[in-house]
Amino acid sequence: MEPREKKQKNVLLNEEEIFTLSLEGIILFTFLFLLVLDASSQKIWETRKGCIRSQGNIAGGYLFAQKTPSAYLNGDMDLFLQDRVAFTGSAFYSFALNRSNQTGIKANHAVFGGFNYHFLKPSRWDPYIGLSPGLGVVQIAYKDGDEIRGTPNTPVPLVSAAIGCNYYIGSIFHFFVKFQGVAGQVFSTLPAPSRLDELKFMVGLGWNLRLWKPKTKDKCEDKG
Amino acid sequence: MQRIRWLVVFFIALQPATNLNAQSNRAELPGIDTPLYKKQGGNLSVGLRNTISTFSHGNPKEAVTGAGGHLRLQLVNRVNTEWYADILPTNIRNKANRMDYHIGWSVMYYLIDPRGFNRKFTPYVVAGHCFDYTRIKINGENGESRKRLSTAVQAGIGCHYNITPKFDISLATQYMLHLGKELHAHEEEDGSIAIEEHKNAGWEGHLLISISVNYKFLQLWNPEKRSRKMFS
Repeated sequence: MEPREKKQKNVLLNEEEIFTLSLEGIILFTFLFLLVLDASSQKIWETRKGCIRSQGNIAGGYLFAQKTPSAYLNGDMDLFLQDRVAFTGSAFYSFALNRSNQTGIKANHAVFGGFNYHFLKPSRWDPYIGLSPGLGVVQIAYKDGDEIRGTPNTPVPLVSAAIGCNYYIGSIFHFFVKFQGVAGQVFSTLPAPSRLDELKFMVGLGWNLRLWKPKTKDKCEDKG
Repeated sequence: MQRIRWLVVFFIALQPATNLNAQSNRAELPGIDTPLYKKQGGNLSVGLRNTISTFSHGNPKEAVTGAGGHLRLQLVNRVNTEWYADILPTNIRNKANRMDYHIGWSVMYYLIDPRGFNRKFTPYVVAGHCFDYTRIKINGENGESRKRLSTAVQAGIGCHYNITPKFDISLATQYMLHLGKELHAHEEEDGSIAIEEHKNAGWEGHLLISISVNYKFLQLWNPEKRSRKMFS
């Protein structure tokens, strides 16, 4: 009997505490859900300000200097500060498309941050352009005599501009297409620098959510 | 008599309502209670930029693209400040590389009244100072490298293109003049690269062209309130 009691004492939370915690969780979730429900009454194609648009996807690319395709696990988001202006951030995790005994780019991960300008007033169609400098983390395999050697993971500043379009199909989902031009070069321990000029492209289904309800005053300000 | 009494009662009842209406109309009229454009002091904006550096050591072929960011804090209507950081990697004849890291600040003076950034174009002159760290390295695993920490001054011109009053694209051209020791790489007759350091080298600089996107996200203080307090 004694060891069983000991075992019970060792448990982090007893049943009552778990019940209280889950009740608090349910209440909190309900309030947050009501908040989102209330906010989402304004559709993204009516007012973009206060919305977040995001996607996670597989992205493709083409490296001009290496003349090879590239592939990434990619995620990006637009936080609409005004109807036509959004803060944007994106991340790319690269897959190595060449074999381990081949030279070339082994890793080309990157994060970007900037602003997008959306041309049209809120509607279902939403084309945009953006400027978003970034930072890449690059690893390259190169030939040193007969040996194949690899550079350490090297941070690289990147220059980038994007063009794309969203089509909002519902209050939560949208289709998107985006092209992003990237330019940069890596030195690291390479005998000669390697250019990282690339065109990335992504297409698919994303989601959007309203985070806050803009005031009437803000909407007027946007139009000006 | 009865009618007149009712008329008087009606007008007395109507009077506060018309008065209220007059007050609200007065408040809406620009230039009477509120100025035409809001004062801009206290604006804090965040910007991300792509920088092109040309004419390094007078050589127009050594054009470099780099990336960076800045914060802008506007002091008064015509004076803004910029606090920035940049990274500029340079390829030296495929044989060596140079990395320049800049951290600095600039003061911008708007040549015309920005009018709450409701004008499409706002030209400005800019001047400032920065700390810079330079490292030149011969390419390869065990390549020779040298570094230098120095300061620089920069001045130039720029222009905001205000897409909305809060959001702008800015193009600026500045000449940056490095102070202190000069560090540079040059190609020898046999094709090899040598890194040299010169004391009191005189003018050494480069032309910086930056294109940035900026968003005013916060107003740290309200200049309207301040001026009202001062004059009350």
